[in-house]
Amino acid sequence: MKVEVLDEYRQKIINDGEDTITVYDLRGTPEEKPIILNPGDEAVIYIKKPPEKKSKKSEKSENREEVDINISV
Amino acid sequence: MVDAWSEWGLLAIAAKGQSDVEYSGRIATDSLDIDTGDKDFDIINLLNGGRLEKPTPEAETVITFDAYFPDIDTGGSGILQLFHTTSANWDSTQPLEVTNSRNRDQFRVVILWTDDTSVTSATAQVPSGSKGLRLIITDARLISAKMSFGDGILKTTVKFKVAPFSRTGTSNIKWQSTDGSAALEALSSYS
Repeated sequence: MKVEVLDEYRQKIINDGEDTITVYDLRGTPEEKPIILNPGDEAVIYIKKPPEKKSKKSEKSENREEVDINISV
Repeated sequence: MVDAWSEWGLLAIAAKGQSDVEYSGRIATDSLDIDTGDKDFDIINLLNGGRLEKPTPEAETVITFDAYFPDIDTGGSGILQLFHTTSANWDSTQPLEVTNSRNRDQFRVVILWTDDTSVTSATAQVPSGSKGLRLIITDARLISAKMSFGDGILKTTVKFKVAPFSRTGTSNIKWQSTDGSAALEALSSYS
């Protein structure tokens, strides 16, 4: 099994052996998910959850909400 | 239900905090033995002719199998790094090396019999519609890895031993089965 660290949140796991292994996405968290890697399989797993980014759309809608509030005032 | 489980099964081993590794492709089918700990009792004879049962606490369970390992890797093709040291010290850079130490790891051993031949790991989900029987032992110790070349092939007899309960009384042995009317869910990680 080869482990490549992609960043502080993700690892690429390559099963370069001849036996099946089970790795876990977000191991130890409520969102943990087992991933079965048969020989030759690879997967990118999260070792911890990345921070959620605000989308531009949600920022816009937040601004609009503020405007609406100002008008009503 | 099936009449009996025969011919094939799956066996996965995980050191605490590590991935579950499938070892069934290394184990001789007829060598797998699960020596479930007895829940015996003694008898105290009473003066009136009656008998009083004195329970003996459940004994340890031992899982034994013969396996054929070509190396000392930790990805299913070897067992000696698991025996001699803890996962924090595993060598994954060729050439692999391990020295004996006083370190002892804890392991989860999972054995699965199922009629679903698409299942490739003992820890995986057995989907609804398929039958299965699964044993999960946690916090087991790898107590023996004896090697023999007596039959002209290098064989390792492996023994895992587990106390039936932890120090705080948590069960270390679990059995699961399904008749196909419900799925056997995949196991969560062993941490």
